[in-house]
Amino acid sequence: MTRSGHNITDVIQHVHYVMIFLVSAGSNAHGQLANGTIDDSHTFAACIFKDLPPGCRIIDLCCGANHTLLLLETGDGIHELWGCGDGRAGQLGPDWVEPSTSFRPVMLNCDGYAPKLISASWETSYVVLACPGQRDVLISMGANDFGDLGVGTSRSAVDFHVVELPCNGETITALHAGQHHVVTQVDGAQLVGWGLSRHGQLGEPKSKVAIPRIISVDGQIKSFALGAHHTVLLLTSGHVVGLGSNRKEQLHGLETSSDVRLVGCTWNGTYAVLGDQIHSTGSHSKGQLGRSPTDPYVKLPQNHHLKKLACGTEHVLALFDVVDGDPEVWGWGWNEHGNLGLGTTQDIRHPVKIWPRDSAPVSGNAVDIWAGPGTSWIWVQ
Amino acid sequence: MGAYYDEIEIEDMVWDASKRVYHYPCPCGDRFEISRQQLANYEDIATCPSCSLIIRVIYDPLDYEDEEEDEEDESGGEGKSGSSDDEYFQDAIEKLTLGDAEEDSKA
Ligand SMILES: [Zn+2]
Repeated sequence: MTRSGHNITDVIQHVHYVMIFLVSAGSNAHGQLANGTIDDSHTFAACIFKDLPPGCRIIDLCCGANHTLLLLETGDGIHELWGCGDGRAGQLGPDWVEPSTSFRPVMLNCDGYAPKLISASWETSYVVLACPGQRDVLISMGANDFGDLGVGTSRSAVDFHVVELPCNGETITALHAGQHHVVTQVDGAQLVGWGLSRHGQLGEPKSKVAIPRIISVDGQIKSFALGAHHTVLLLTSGHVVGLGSNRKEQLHGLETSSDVRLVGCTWNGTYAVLGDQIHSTGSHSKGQLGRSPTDPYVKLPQNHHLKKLACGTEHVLALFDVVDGDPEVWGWGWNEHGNLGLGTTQDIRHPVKIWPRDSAPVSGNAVDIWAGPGTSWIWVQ
Repeated sequence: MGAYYDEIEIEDMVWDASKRVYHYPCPCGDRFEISRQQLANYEDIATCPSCSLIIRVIYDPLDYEDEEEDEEDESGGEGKSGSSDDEYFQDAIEKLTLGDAEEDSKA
């Protein structure tokens, strides 16, 4: 699997095309960091793109076990799906044979439709396709260990599958996946889920849900987040509803919160944002809670306005607007693969600033953040 | 449970018929693995080859008692999914070498 010679050529050939400065750090056994190698990166390094069209911006990024999906908008306003890493289960489409250590377009044969939303569970990818005047279409591709594909227990990894949703509705407005379960929202209202639900992470009854089913909720949904064995729903009222396992207290105290404006889930934890404070609950063996057990909230810097939370499997990033300063990214939690980009592999038990960094290969302002299985991503401008 | 990253019921794990292991996702992107043989031997620690993390597998060893007979056909001959050709090649080479060594010692 030593491809470094080839990859160095890649870097030189394509350096002219890099117009998005996306940096990544962490676990990289299958090239999922898109930095031209298959070695872990303990510091943030620039991602490589193969023949990127001019003027692209990043709409979204998501991570499976060893693959990464990127939703781009080109300068011409066209949406494109890109990917990197391991595609052996079909999670990067039927044409993805070799692992790729740089971002390349993912080929989907769906004329007239353009990707709108993306997500990934363990070795499965999900894309919402939109076409003017037509109903949105949700497709899945890759592994089907716990009904992840949403099309029954058929094991076919050929091409992609169209997921039939059990409700009428034109527009798919949100899509998020956990370790082996998926939840999507139709017309800003109805929730539909499928995949692993042994712990009730898709509601009752507890079982594998190979065919999508409606998740009934009292209240209007604002947003939602998925962990390994739990799901957290944020209502427009600011209240939070938890589904599934509470074995690691990942749902503890959530029902008493109100005025929550954002929620995020690591595999075994939940993060609820109130104002500029974060209530954290769940597993803390690697410092994931970002606070002392006696403190109610994550220890965050003063005069920072929390803009976005990005939860990896067992670590967390937070993007802040700073009064009289440049945006900052802070991070904490599990860091065994150098996934916080600090040049170390020690777990971080209280939040530390990870961007901007003097030692980074590129400088600039953090625009957006994402996190995956032991990986962190910052879009820099 | 401090030493374990997690304690996972066998029902949350996936059986890989070609590698003959149960596996569960590791937060690093790799996976924790434990063989049926290990389960039959009352072992309950699944390890990740890319991490320091380990999980304890919750299962009933009695369900795996009959595995002992299975040792002979543990390698080779099974389906190929989930395991690289390289590994099969390596296995084949190792067997070849073993075979030769036995022949040599007989001679
Ligand atoms: Zn691992």
